[in-house]
Amino acid sequence: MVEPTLTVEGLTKSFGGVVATNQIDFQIKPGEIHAIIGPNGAGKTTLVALISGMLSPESGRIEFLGKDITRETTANRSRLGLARSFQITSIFKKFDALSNVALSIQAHQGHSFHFWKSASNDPNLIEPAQEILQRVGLGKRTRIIAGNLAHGEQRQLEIAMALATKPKLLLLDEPTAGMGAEDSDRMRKFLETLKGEISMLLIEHDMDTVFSLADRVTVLVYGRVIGTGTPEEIRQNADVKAAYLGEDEENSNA
Amino acid sequence: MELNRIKVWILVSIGCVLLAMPAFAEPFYLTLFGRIMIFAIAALSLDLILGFGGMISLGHAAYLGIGAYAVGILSFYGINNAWLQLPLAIFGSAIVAFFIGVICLRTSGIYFIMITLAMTQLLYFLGISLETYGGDDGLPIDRSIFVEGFDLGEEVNLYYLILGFLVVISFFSWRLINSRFGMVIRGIQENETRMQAIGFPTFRYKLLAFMIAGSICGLSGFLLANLTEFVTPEFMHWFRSGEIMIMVLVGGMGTLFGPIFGAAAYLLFEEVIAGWTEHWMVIFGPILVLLVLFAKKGIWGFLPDKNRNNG
Repeated sequence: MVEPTLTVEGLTKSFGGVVATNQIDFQIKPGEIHAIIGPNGAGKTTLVALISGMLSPESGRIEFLGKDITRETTANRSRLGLARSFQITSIFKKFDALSNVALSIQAHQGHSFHFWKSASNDPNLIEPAQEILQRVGLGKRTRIIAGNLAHGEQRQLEIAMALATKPKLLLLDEPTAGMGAEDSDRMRKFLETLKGEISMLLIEHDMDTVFSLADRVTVLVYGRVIGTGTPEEIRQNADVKAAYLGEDEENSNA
Repeated sequence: MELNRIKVWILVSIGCVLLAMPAFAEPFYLTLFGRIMIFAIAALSLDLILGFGGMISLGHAAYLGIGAYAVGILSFYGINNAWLQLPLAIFGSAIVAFFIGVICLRTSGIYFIMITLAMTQLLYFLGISLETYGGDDGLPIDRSIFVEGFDLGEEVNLYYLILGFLVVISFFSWRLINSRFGMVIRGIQENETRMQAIGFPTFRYKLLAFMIAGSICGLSGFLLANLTEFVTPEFMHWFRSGEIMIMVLVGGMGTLFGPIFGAAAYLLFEEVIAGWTEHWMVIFGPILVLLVLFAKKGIWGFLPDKNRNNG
């Protein structure tokens, strides 16, 4: 059997009396796009925070590429190849797009205790950064201050920064959040080009995106997994229909 | 950070004026401008962590005191060799900054401000309690000796030493903030969570920046002790930390060279207005408030700039 990219076992985290994630188990296989869906408050963002190391769980373990990373820092997880994007755009707003990506690249070229040589014209940073911006479709916007980019472009930059760390697993927290139909469509097509190359954990509200991209889907409700399977299996699953899909499909078909 | 041609020329011409000053200025002005340049170094070092690293330290005068006491205590035992005093001032400050940083950098926001202030006050009262070294009366000292023939007792020589350090430190800091290390520090100020997510262990970078800023301020303490020929715990009083911070704000936070102008503006203002009234702060206060409200980049922001997009 192929070693899974990510294994999550019995992951539990609560805030006060609220159990945000409750005994969550699932696996991501190499190259797979694994979507997590669930209504608001289901614990999706908490789950991303736990996997990326920004929160630590009360119990359970996280294994990444065969290594237990439950207690590793966020920075170390990133160095092992675990990258994330943020639901609420998190970029360096005062830097230009190129510097945003260059910083990501710099983080993975050994330590940054270099005090003399200029970073802004270092070809080891600039060239790969340019290449990645090109790839996400921001090739012509490299010198624009990130805070002045359009919302959709900022979301693309967000992905570019994650990709620049050469991840083995990409945690995407609602990559199309707040995007118009056209931008979402472009983002979906772009993510499709990464399919097979990088494993992805996709948190998404937009069902079209989920069902067109995901190889497997896990459904979370009130912090619990109520079903895992292929998109087709999930569509047929009675529990899922009752808890989540039913109402959503009605809304989207209306 | 980029410098446009106009600003480079402004800096170069100021450097030339300072270089030529001993030819026409009276000794009083050499001392005054020596003092301004010392505080310019201190303010510039604070800007490294305040303006670029987002660390609002209200304890920066601690290193001014440590640098000064490195001179004072060695001088007390008859050691006036600058090659011993200067490393002690710089590395002593770095070590103290390490311990203060390890504690303070675990906090942020208002807690960071308060705890850095508390740490400095701790050192201030330590200075007062050191009866051997003068306690709160302070300690008169002899000036340091670098090499035979370059007597710091001559005001001109001390003036040029200070100017030399200001130029070297400015250039060093300029390289620093544009280096990979500088980018990390600025990135942390912008968005620390993101920095961690892309793989930077941010704490160690912040700590080192804190230590570098402390060391540079320790250097200015070394110079200050030589200029005043006197060491006192007052150098470490939190009010002094506040003054250095005001210089940064007036000159322009996060502009690196702005604080040099800030130090000059603050000390010249004090010199002139304090001649009229001892309540000069009453006049300076409102000006500071207006500057902070309406000129985020301080004096530096008023200098001509062709491309206003640069942060």
